[in-house]
Amino acid sequence: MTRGRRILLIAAAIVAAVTVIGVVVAAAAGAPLDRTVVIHWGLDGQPNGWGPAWTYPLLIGATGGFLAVLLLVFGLIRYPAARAAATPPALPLREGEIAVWTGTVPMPRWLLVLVIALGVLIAALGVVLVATLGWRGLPAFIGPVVILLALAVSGDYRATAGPTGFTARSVLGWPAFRIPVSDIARVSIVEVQAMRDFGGWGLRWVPAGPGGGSRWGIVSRQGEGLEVVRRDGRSLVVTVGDAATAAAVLEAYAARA
Amino acid sequence: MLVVVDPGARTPVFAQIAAQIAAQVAAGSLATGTRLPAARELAGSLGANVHTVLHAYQQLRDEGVVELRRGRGAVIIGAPADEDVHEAVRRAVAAARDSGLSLPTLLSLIRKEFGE
Repeated sequence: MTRGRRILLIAAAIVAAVTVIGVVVAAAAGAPLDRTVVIHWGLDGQPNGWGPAWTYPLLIGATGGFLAVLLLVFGLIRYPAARAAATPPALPLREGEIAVWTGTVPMPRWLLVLVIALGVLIAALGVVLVATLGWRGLPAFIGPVVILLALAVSGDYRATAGPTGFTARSVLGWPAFRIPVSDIARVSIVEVQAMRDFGGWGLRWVPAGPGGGSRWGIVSRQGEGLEVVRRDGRSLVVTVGDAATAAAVLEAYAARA
Repeated sequence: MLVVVDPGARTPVFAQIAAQIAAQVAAGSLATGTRLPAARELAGSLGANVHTVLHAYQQLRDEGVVELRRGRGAVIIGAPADEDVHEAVRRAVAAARDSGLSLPTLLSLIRKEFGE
């Protein structure tokens, strides 16, 4: 079992345990469960919705149960097997020469516009909510801000291959992936099929990649990509143009290490 | 973008960087609108001084290959060389091979023709 699958199964077990505890605590606190309790509050903090007490254990059980099953499924299903991938020859470097390759995984223009528009909208909502409700309005933002962050880190990465190894860093500075030369087992040019390999586009993680370990993907399109496999089997795929040159540079330095 | 520098070579490193980027723009492998890496980043990867890379970027700006914008860094504005130029280069190289001319000799002939 790969480390990635183990992480997912452990996460599923933790979520399941927390869900069971939540259901028991909510049932105990709400007993008897057929009485009527408050289930909704208005923005002014006054209750405005009532329902049976079993609403709470049911909601906690359904949400937590769904999440646990989802994690369990992703931890157990089969992932696409390795496909033939080409490894180009090392870049010929003379004594004393230093080679650096850089490329980008772009962010589509519409996504950039969406991120900026959402950011402005959330900031404006934040000002209004805090102005009318005070700081207790802030938890309402956690969801939107998490979604905004997830969208913001889904594209616009700069990849660099050179004497120190391979890096792919978001223009925001985080997240950044660094693979030192000494940790590179092999590099190859792969044909990325976004849906089949990663279940979609953006910053992606698959618990069991073809390298034998988990696999990260920074995927902006279908087609040519560079895959860097670490010694422990984990790998990173980036859809950059001219992946062959990037691979040749890494090969040259990996061969020396 | 690929940059290969030799700090021990006679040509200064900034000129090596600038020449390679200009060549990739001319060849069409660096498209108009491409953003070059930040000078500090490229310098770090090459193990060179930031000023060396900035010097290269400034030279590329003077040659009309990139535009330097505050906050956005260097952006390629140059276009690939005309197909005529590529064709002429291919022919010159083929002719040089046929007559047994070495690359340095061919380069020095081109430099002379260019008036440099």
